[in-house]
Formats: sequence, C-alpha cells, structure tokens
Amino acid sequence: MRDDHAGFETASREKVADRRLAIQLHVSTGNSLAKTASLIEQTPQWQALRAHARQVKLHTLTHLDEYVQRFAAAAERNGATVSWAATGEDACAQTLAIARQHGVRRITKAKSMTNEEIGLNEALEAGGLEPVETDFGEMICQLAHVAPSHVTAPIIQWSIEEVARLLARTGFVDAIPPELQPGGGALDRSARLSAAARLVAAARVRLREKFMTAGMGISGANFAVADRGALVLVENEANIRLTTTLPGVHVAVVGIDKLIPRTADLGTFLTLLPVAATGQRQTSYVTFLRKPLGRLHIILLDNGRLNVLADEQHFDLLSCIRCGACMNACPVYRHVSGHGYEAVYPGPIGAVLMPHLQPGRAYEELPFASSLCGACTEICPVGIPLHERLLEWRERVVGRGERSRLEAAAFAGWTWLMTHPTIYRSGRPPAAWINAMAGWFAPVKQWQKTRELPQVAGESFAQWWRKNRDA
Amino acid sequence: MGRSSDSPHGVSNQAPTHSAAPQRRVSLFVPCYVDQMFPRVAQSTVKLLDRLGVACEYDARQTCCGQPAFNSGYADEARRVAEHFVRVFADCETIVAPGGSCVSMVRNHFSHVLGREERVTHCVRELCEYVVNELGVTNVGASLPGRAALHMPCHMLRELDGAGPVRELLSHVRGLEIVDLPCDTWCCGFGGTFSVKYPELSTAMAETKLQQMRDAGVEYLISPESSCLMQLASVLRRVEEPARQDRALRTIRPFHVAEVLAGLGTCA
Repeated sequence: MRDDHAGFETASREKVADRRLAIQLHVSTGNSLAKTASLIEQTPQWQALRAHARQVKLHTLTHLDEYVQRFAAAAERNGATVSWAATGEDACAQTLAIARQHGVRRITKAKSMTNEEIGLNEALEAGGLEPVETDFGEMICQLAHVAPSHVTAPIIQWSIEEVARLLARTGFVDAIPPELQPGGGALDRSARLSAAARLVAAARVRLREKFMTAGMGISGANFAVADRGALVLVENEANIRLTTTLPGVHVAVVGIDKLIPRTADLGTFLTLLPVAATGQRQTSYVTFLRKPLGRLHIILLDNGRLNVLADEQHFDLLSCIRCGACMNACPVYRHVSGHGYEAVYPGPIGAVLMPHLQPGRAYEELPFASSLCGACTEICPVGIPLHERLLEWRERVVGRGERSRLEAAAFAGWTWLMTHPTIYRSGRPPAAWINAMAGWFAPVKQWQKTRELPQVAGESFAQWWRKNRDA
Repeated sequence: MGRSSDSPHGVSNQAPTHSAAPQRRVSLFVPCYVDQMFPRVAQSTVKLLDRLGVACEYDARQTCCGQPAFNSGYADEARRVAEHFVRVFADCETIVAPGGSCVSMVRNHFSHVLGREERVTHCVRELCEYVVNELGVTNVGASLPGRAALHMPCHMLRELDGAGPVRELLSHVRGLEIVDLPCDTWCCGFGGTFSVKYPELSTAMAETKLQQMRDAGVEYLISPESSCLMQLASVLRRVEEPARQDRALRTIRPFHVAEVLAGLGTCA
C-alpha cells in the first residue's frame, strides 16, 4: 500500500467532483464497448468460447503445480532460464541481478501490469538503471509520474490535448500542434486525430533511439503455454516485439495465473482477448516466443497468487486475462477512473483481487464500493461471476466483524422488525418517519447530501388494502 | 402537458384484445419500499390485474425479501428475513410483484441464502413478465402520449428475462414512444446501501443517465423498479429545483410501468 493511500471514499469523492473526468471516460470506454459489442454480435460462438475459456482456466488452476513444472521444463529445453519469485521484491531483485550480470543500464520495457504490480520501475531506478516504457500510454504515465489507470489503456482518462501539453513540456515535441491549442478549432475530429498521429510519430523517433541502445528488455506475458514452454504477447504498437527481441537479453516476469496447458487452447483466448480488451478482431501483433534469440530469463511470480489459489470460493479470480472489459463496463469505474481505486488493478476485478493480493483493511472497502449492477459479470470474456465475488467479499468482511458496530446494530434491528410483522405493521405512516429522521439519522442525512428525500405516501399499501379490499 | 384534447391519463375504453382466463388468482408480493413509500405502484398493479381478470390476494404478514441485508454482506440477517418470506408465501401458487429486483432476489439468490431449495422461489413473477408470458397479453389498452426513456433495473436486465416483456407492453401503449438511448443498460446508481455510503458517486451515476435523457428530450422516465425510480426522481428534483425557476431544464416525469399500464388516474 502506498503512503498516500486515502481510501476509496475520499479518493472517489475527489474524482466524482470532476465532471469532465466522467465525460472523458464515458467517451473512451463507450467507444471501446461499442466495438466490443458489435464484434460479439458477429461472433455466434462467443458464449461457447467463453465457456471453453473458463473450463481451460479452471482446469489449469486446479492442476497448476503440474503445469508450472511442465512449462518450466519445456522453456528450459528451449534454452530459457526459468526462476521462481515468491514476492514482488524477490522478482525485482532477480531482475536487477540479471541486469547487473549483463552490465546493462538502459532497459526498454514492454507494457506489463505484472511489472506495475511489483513496482519494477522504482526498483530498477533505485538500482541506478534507466527503465524506459515503450508502450505509448505507459510512456505518458512514466513522463507524468502517474500510475496507469486501466489495465489495457493506461491513459484512458487523458484527452489528446493533455497528452500534447505533456509532450511539449517534456521536450518530446517542439510545440503543441495548433489544432490542439485552446481555441484552435480542435472540435474537428479528423484534425485532432491527424495531430495525434504527429505526436505519436514524434514519440516513435524518440523510442527508436531507445530500442537501438537498450541492453535489456523486460516484458510480462499474456499467456504462458505449458506444452511448448512458450510465451505469447499481444499488442498493437510493435514495441513489445522490439523490446523482447532487439536487446539480446530479455526478462519476462510472468504471473503463474498466465499459464494455459496447450498451444491448441490459444485459439480460444486469442479470439476472446482482443475483442474484449479493445474491440478488435485481432491485434496488430501476436508474438509467440519459444526459442530465445539471445538470453531469456523467465521469472514465474507468485506474489499472493497462491493465496488466491488456496481459496476454494475465489480461486477463479486467477483466470482473469487482464482485458479490462469489466472496467469499461463498470459505472463506478467510469466515474472515478482507475486512480479512484488507488490500486494497481482497478475496477471490478481490482475490487475483488486487491484484497487478496494485499490483505488488510486498505482494499477491503473496494468490494463495498459497487452498486452490484452486474455489467462486469456480463462482459467478462472468461466468465468470472465478478458481482458474486463482490458480494462474497462483503459477507466475509461482515462475518469477521469488521464493519461499524452501528451498521451491524442497524441490520440487527431491521431484521427483528422484518420478522415481526405485527409490530412492523403498527408503525406510523412512512411519510412521517422519513421526515422525522431527516435531521439526525445517518443514512437519511447521507441521502440528502446530494438528493431530495423521496416524496412518499401518507399511508402504506397494507393500510390501503385493509381499508379498500379486505371486505 | 399541453397536448391534444384526449386526456393523457385516461385508460382507453376499448377492451384489450386478449382473453384472460377468468378466475386466475395470484398472491401479491409488494416490495417493502413499495408498500411503505410508493403504494400507488402496488395499487396500480391491483387495478391492472383486476382489469385483466386476475384476482389478487394479499397477505399483510409479508415484509421484505432480505435483499438489503444480503447485498450488504449480512448473510445471517438475510437468511432470517428470507425464511419469514418463505413462511408467508409457502402455500402460494403464483406470486406477482411490481419490482424485478426483489423477484431476482427470491428466484436467484434464496437457495444460496437459505442453504436449501424452496418450491416457492420458483413461483415468483415480475408483473410484466407475468402479464406477457403467462397471461399472453401485450396490449392492456393504456395510453400515454409522449416520448419516454425506459430504465431497466440491473437485476431484471441481467438476472431475469431482460427488457423484453416490459418493452412489449410499453410498445402497445397508445401514443407512447420509447426512445432508445445508450444509457438504457446503465445502472441508476442506487445499489441499496451503496447510495448512502457513497452519495456523491451514486448521484453522479444517476446524473449521467439523466443528462442523456434530457439531451434526448424525453418527457417521461419509465421503469419497472421503484427503487431505481426513487433514486432517479430524488436526483432529478435536487437538480431541477433551482433550474425550474428559469425554465433552463425541461422536467422529466418519473413513472412506474404499473402506473402507466393501469392508466395514470387515481387508484382508489
């Protein structure tokens, strides 16, 4: 947990106050969702693929020890070095040691949430090395010193104008393109897009130089295929391919949840992932790494995953393929962005996974910060029943007596009332008590912060029925 | 309203084109917040079923389905309230409720909450579901001229049969145009205790939906779920109160589907 962790209630309130953030997020996630929905519609076997993916993942997880061994043996046969890291610190230390062993300073980095999870950049910088993020969005995050706020679209809440300002300020481009300046007539979409293309071109020139001069590349992996000992990485920018092949030394930090048994299973996952993640039929690049071109170190990472695996009710959270669709679909995410969660994995999957990965009170509020609308469950390409997991977390936290005593007492009282109908029915008409509670009763006060009290009737339906229908 | 001569609130006198079997009997399940706060919704339900030749029974021992406790993580409390529900409705054949959220709770979550299967959980029907699927009626002879947005509660959309029956019934309401919007499938932000734990966030979710409805120029907001309507109407009124002075915002009027189908007149 970071030192500046404010908690969801505070962080989300600050994010909600910025209406522009929600508007920007609705546009970005809406575009992605629309493309996803349209492709799903054109994929009659979508539900069957989802079911198959879930089956494969659950099978893998229930035989994970076997597949980890099988993967490691096959990868070693291919010429890779495979090691185990129990914690994030351990994985960082191993990566640092490999860099020192090869005497490298500049390191190109492929986009990897697993790297973010273990704080690899900070560890490398502390060791005097220069990690360079090469994914455009991650590069922006690195320049701005902010964490990514989405697992597949790190700067989803940024406008093109904000990106242009940052690139100008950091000397990546000489000046902000005129179309993107305030009052520059930036409303024309095609003009903005061509300006964005110029920004990307400028970044590309910068990154090319880094690719050519880096002594080592670090990546994660989308899939680790046990039967061939292969790593599979999907992307649109080719930076992953350049990172994993050009420098001659490649370190892949791979969570053990990324394992799948067979190359034959890839078809299912490579169909689901791009559709769910970015609304693409296929990404521009799919890299299948088997025989290393130079040195390949694969670090298999636990970092709390084995604890999730040991949880009979929740082990399926490890079947997540990090597509980010649950974030796009989540109305809470769409109002607070990833940063509102203050967690490396935000959105619905983050809300159920973070309390496992970092036990303690810091993230146990997240499962309560949901209206349980179920949009995440509906879209998850590997069929994780996310909203049920949210509910189960609530039961666990309540069961451990970690909610406020006042709340527990309120529910106890309410339960007693709801199981004693005679007393429940003898109460005053609701309009009277709602208004009576307005000044002092916490939930009613909270409601009134942002809304009017509901206009309620003077008599209940039961009273009306007794008078009018019970002849 | 400022519309044409015929009253928007009148129910068409023309007999609906259906032949409901006489002497059907159903037990009413009136969600607690409908009973206590929005009785008109339940009265409209009775009136509509009357008109369709369905006799209603109502057992006043009923209270709540337990969903508030269940959704807040109080499984034991939810179980006790669910057991009470099962006791009250034990002998009922068909149970009809004007609210999909509670129907989903009973149908989809009771067996988990109770730790056993109960016959009664399979007998509960949401009102529109019942009218379309079991009575085979799609035109109840209602009329409401104007443009409306339909808000479907998440539970109905994702845990019951979706918007089909509700849309079917509304499509036959004379003069009513349902405007399809991107926000049709978005949550209203109520979420039970969520709405008081995170009032700003909950309200922002509602406001995002309402803004889209305003932009589309709808006059009504229709929903088969009173809890969503309570949330949306409360946000609407807070936002519109200051704006009404200078007529900057047009007013959106919230209605429950049952009120629309029964005709918006008095239910006495």
